[in-house]
Amino acid sequence: MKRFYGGLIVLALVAATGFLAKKSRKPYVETAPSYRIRGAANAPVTIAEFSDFECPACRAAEGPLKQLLALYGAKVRFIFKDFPLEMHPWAKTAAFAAECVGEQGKFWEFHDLLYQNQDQWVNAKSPPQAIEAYVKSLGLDNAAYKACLKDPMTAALINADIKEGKRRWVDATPTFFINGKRFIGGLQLSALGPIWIDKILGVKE
Amino acid sequence: MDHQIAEKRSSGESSVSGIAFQFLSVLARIFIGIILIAAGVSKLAAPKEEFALIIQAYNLVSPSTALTAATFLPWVELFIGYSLLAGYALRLASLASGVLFIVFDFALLSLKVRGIELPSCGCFGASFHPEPKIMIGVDFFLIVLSLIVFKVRPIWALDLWAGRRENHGK
Repeated sequence: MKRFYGGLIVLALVAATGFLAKKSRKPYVETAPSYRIRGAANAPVTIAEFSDFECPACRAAEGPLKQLLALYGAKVRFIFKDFPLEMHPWAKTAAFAAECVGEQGKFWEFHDLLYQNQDQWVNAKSPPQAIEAYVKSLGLDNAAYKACLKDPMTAALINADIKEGKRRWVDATPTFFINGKRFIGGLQLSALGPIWIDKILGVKE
Repeated sequence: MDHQIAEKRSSGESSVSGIAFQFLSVLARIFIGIILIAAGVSKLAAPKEEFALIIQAYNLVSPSTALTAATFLPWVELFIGYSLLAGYALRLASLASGVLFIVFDFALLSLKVRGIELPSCGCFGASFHPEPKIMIGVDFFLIVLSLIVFKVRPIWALDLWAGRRENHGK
């Protein structure tokens, strides 16, 4: 009988610990510079995207992502995170440019320009020059932009995102996290994302 | 005395019962128990799909097996961890923990052999990120500790209160 009670004590400890561990689940707090964040800080849903400006799958995911953002409006906050893949030689150049354009308040315009014209600048004779041309088209303070490119803080911001992505086992782009739950690629985002968001928002079918 | 030794020999008992070893065994139990409970809790504190993704990254099992393992492994870790801490079914629990660490070490060594680079071992979910090469050594150490618990006659254990004998000796 004592043996049975002993087993019961161990089982009770396991169940209580497991219950508390599951209860303690907190949504991951996503952080990024303010220019890479869209939507209200108190929005119930946060979508974070680890993306690469040179990646065709990221460009393809732009459509489904924008539909999702339009569908849920103010209930969703979107955060862009840099995850330039090593296989894409110009992805980091584009990420640096985007950071520095973002510093001057035009991150999203530049973000759209890079994805909409991805084929052109990636296949241009000199992709860095093509990227520079998009930057110039936005009419920014060129001296501040150049200084920002050389600023170690810019590299630190991008490296921090890469490090965070690796820590969160991101190995493909685009990878989305909706309140901490992972969705890989635009297809998974559009097919399963709304189900998860509805669950978070408590929407009944 | 001779009679006792002869009895031990004839029963095939192989437990170690020196007081120093018994204290060492208690420390080993506490250490392994805490590690296993921490590993179980950190995995349960995240969605099971996240841990399944980590298992899949090892490229040793199918996605469905990875999801099944991700569902049950944290609970198994908790159960073995608490059994060791409380001293319940000690011989079985130490055997299970030893086997578990052998499996983990095999998985980590296979990464090295196959040249797969992972950002961390994933042993503690999202809360702690030890490198795979470090965990190979840690797991080996835990195998040795499990062996000590397996071999040494227990003290301060629920088994003694319950009158359980598992061939640890008298």
